[in-house]
Amino acid sequence: MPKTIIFVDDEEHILHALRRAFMDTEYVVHTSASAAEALALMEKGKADLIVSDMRMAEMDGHELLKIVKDRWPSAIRIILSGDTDKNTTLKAVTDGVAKAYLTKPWDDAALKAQIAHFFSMHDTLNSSGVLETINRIDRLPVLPDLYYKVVAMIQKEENISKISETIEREPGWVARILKVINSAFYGISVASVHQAITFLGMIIVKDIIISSDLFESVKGKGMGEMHVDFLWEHSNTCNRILHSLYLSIHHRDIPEEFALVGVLHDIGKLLIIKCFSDKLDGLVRQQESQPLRPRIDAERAIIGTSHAELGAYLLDWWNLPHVLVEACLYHHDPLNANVQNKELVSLLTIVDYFSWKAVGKKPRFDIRNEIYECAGITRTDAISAMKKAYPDFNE
Amino acid sequence: MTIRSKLIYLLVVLCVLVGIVTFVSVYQLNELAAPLKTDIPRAIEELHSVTEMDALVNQVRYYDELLTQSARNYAFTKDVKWKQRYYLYLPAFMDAMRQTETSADSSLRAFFLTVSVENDSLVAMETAALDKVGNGGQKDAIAILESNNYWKCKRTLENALRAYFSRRGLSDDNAYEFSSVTIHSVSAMATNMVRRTYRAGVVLVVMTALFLIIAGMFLYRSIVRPLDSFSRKIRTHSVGGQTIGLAETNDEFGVVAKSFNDMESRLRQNQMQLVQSEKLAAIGQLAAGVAHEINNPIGFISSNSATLKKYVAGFVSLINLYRKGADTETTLLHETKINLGFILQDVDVLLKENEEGLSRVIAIVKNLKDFARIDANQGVMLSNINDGIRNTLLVAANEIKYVADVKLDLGNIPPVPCVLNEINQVFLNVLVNAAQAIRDQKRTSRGCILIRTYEEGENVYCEISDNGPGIPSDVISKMFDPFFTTKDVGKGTGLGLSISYDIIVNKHKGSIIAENSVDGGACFKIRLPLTTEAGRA
Repeated sequence: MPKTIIFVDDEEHILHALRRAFMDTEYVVHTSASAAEALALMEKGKADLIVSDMRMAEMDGHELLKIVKDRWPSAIRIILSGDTDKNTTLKAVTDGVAKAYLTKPWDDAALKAQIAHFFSMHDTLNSSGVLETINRIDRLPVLPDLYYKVVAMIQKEENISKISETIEREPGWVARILKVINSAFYGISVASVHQAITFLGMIIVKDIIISSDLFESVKGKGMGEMHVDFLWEHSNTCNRILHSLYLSIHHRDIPEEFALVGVLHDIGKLLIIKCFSDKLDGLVRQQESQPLRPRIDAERAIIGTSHAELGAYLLDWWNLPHVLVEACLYHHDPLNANVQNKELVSLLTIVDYFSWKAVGKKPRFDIRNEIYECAGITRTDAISAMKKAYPDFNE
Repeated sequence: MTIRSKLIYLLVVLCVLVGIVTFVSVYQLNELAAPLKTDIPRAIEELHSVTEMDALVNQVRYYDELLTQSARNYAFTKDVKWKQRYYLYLPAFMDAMRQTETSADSSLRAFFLTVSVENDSLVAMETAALDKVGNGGQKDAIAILESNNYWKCKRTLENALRAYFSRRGLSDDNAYEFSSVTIHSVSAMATNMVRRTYRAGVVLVVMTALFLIIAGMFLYRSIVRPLDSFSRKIRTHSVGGQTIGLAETNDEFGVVAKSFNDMESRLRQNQMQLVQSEKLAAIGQLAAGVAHEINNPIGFISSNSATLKKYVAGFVSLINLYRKGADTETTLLHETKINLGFILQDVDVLLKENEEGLSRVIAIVKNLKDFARIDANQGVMLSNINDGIRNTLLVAANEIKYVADVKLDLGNIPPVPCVLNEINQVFLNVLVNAAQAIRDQKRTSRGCILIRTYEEGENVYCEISDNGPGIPSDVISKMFDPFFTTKDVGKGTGLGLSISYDIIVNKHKGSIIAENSVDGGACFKIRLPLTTEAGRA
């Protein structure tokens, strides 16, 4: 059955152009000139993907996608806007209303590839293996209330002081947030939530709330390499090296939306600890007996799907930005043809590899030269970044 | 001369003067006190010795009289008790005599020696007379005591003693008078001393007061006056926004003035940088808005070009088929394959849309150019404010069109001498503020911005009012201040309206007033004078 796409834009010429561009694809394409029209179309028959302009009179793209998210959560929501302002872009993906933010002018071929990629990822995450596993989980972890409070405040453009006050009123959170920042960030040390938000930005703090909540929910659980303390160490190490590496390549800090990708990339494992505790013993034993077998294979054999897919599913389900979902899903397969942001995913794979070494474990995978090429670095770069973040690192 | 050295000089002069006065008065006091040290002790000692000698002399006279009487009584009565009395007092008399001789000072010693000689002869005669009475020679005894010789001695002694007292100028027992004179003279000396000391004190006080007045005047001249002139200059000049430029004298004020002037020039530099950065921020905002406006047409134009390429590829393939002389069936099949029917229908629409898109982009760029007057003379020119408003509206369209409708009520106004791109910057600022205020209300209905221009007197007025939330009362007084902003940190320099104020008020000698209209929205009233001499200063 062909996929359905709705394009929404108050500029008719744009709709015409898009219609022409998608004329020779197998998708069923609808266009609507206003948000109201688009909602009416959705009522008639749900679309698989909706691409909306941002600035429209009456109801803007953000509002439209918010309604779509509430009523048809499985529809993939994308913004295609002429706005170049970074704040608007970030805001749109911060609250999970849009999966991605694309800008005008667009390249027809690239847009089509992107849309194909969204569908394929959606299909992967909703493939029978993943879904079956997910279905065996009674309840997926929910995001903490604080997360929604903070997101609502970001949406309302409240000022930093007000947001940090809100966070500081929640017992336990301040310590948890500062702990993450001081262990997962490279070259940054903060003493208060206000400082954290000022230095790092709202998006990062929001992601910290997510990750630290999940780690907190499995506190003290797990065993061997699947123990939460070990994973905590590993994830933070990963994040730190990633920041250091990114800084040494690009001479600027990693973009806000990726800033916590290192901490979040293995949350599938936390889900395994949390929801498959009965299988954990067998899984760990098998991994220990076969030190060279990729972890993913063992997970697929025992649980039915891998931690990469589980984690990506969770991030997607929580409506985190597409870049994070993709990085999580493909961090053991960065060269997969479906990967759009190859550089970031490759970097993540490389730092994953090195942070295993940093804790004295032998990684179960090797980094092929193509991965270094994709990441745009050499092995030497990676090692020197490693040494910057961890001065006593020794290959 | 520096203030420090002025003060040091002043202090040294004061010290010297006070030193001189003190020295003089101490010297005078010392001089005054000299008699107290020598004369008064001498006078007291003298007084002491004189009274002692007087007592001795009186004793001598008393004993002499007593002895003479005793001797005569014995001679006439032959009563032994007188003889006994005589000998009883004789040793005391002799003793007193000896004492006068020894304790008299050199000037009196010779005199007392004669007294003593006369005395001795008197005593010798008396004792001889007393002996004669005992031996029955009463008559002889009386004869001795009545003898001329005896009386002569007696008189000599008496005269000598009297002479002693008269020589001192004292009557017999008037020694106290002498002491009182001495005391009187001492007290007179003391009074004199006190008076002179008092006089010296008054002189000292007057001189000190004089010095203090001089020092005060000096301090006023060298410190207070320059400070006053500083503050006056700063007050008067800073209002007009002119350079203050304090005079750099050779003292500390010069140092202060230099630092101040340095600071001022640095501040002006910073201000210029800030104005520049505000301009950049405005340009950034403008660029974002314009980018959005341009990105839409460019978006469909570029997409359409890609489509057109495909269409052309279809045409080319079809033409090739025709050229090869393919049969109708093949060509028809190919036409269907490339969807020729639709393409032929669509290609005109596509081209028309692209043309329209391109003309939109061209219009936007032209508006921008007109708005910024990039190619025009940057100086004062007679310009139509209405054109400026229309240009600004097109540039600000992206900020306004999603939140508010604009109603124009542009009067038939004469051209105004102004720098139009600067005036446009003011319009843009006010309009974007209005649009943002309306947007931030998150209202359900669209807002409305009314722009009115009219001529009145020698001025052209432009009123920009909206039906947004209005300006909070605590903001309205500060909104033209530099750096005042209600936006979050990083979302505006807070210079926009202060630059607008500068452009209208300082550069064009007009006025800009913000107020809230009765129905709640904000209203900016801009006045620009029509007279050329009131143009740019």
